[in-house]
Amino acid sequence: MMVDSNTREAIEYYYSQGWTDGLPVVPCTQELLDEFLATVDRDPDDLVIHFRGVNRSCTVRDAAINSAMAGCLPSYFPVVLAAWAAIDAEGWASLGILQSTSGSATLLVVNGPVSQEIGLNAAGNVFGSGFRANATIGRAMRLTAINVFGLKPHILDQATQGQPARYSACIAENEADSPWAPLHIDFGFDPAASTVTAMSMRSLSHIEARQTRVPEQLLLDVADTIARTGVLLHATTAACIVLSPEHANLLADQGWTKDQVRSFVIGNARIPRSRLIEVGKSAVSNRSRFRVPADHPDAVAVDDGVDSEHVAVLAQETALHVVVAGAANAGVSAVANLYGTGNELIPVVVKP
Amino acid sequence: MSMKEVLDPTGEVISRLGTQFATRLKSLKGARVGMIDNGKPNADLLLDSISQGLLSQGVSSVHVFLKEHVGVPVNAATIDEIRESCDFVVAAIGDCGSCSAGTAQDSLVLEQNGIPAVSICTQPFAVTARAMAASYGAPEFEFLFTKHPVASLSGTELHERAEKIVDEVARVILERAK
Repeated sequence: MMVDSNTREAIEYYYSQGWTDGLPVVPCTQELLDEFLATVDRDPDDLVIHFRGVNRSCTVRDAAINSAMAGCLPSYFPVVLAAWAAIDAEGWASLGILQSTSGSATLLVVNGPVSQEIGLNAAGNVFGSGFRANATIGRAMRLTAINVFGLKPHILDQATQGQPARYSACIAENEADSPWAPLHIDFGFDPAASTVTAMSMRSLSHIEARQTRVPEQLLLDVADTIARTGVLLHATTAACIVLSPEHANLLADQGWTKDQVRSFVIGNARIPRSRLIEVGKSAVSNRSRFRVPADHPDAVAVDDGVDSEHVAVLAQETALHVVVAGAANAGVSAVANLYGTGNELIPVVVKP
Repeated sequence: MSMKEVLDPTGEVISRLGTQFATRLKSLKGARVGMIDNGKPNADLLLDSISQGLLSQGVSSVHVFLKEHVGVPVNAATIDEIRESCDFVVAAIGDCGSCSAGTAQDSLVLEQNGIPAVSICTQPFAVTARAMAASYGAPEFEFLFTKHPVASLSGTELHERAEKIVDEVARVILERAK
């Protein structure tokens, strides 16, 4: 094929305007925009999401332009809009989490038939590169944050370090290889529905557990990966465990339900109180409930549960979610540490 | 460029302040101050110390307002309360990415409502505060920037910090000699 001589010029124009995440973008013309808008039954001026934290709003047109620039196919756009609705429902983005020093990234989890329809990867390298739908739908979120909400690094985006997932983080649940009902069914949705769930992810930590077939051993490894002192900004934390098919089936084959997995991990995700004293996190600040040492001027006592020796880092049943994703080829799983209480998560249905 | 124009992907800003700042006060004597505490660690103690300093300069009363969340500007109900009860406002503390944008907006929205106001951020977040002011159409709007960090200061250090801030608050809130 031949390339128009203006292609490079157009890409460089976007750079000169600051309209990128650092990677080249696809030039978006009215014609391309129209293809995106044709996939949804929405007015281009409809509000998609308002960020109170920066006093700016995103319309359907804004979201579509940035999706096209991110490299999405028009057929992905209903998923992009569902993702924004899920981000809105989860709530932290409009309160400023996308520009926070914490460097959180938006992790999208897609469930239902739409994953196969648009070619979302749910298997090997699910958090990695190589799949257009995953790469560009996730990218559309941050690109929109940069362009529409003005969250440019070093200016309104004040992430101290950030993380690679801020370029893109979109996975599909591996429903085919999972022994359990998927995430959207946990929330009461129809199996035939397609949904997107948004999470404010602080970090992604992997668990190497290829050595065991004992459920308790595996789940203690998972609990230990959640319950580290560094994760505690607030009194407690939340997490989504992303089990590989091998780990999920190991558990299910021995009769463990997802609820039992959740209960066991919540019960064991705890830190010795003495350790919290050692790292200066044994109390919380007065209103923000940030972890501080007991002698901090703003410190108040914190109710750390019934066990006098240990502090439970997952405060409630909703603080832990379980998803199955990745290849059915090894005992490798991951913990997505989440901002908030875990209570905020709610799948949103993908619709044209 | 090519035959077809590429589309602007940026969003529109909603409310603008422009140069319509609130009228500055002639004196602190007898003035009622509102303190907007965003709840960040040590924000309350810093504002307490600033309040003491302002009272010693003749301010008549201190009214504390707690924000619902650090990352957003003060809400409409609180703005109404402030308009009833305060002559000027001090907001703190913008010492992170989301709370600096939120704290900066506290004074911007209060100025839109006719209340002289000043937001305090730590120095690394001057750029955030200024970006918010620019997005309100008021790039020259004044904030106070104090050394980072505030969250880990002791009570004595907070008091020392507040003493320096009090004079700066007065400078921003009061009418300047021509």
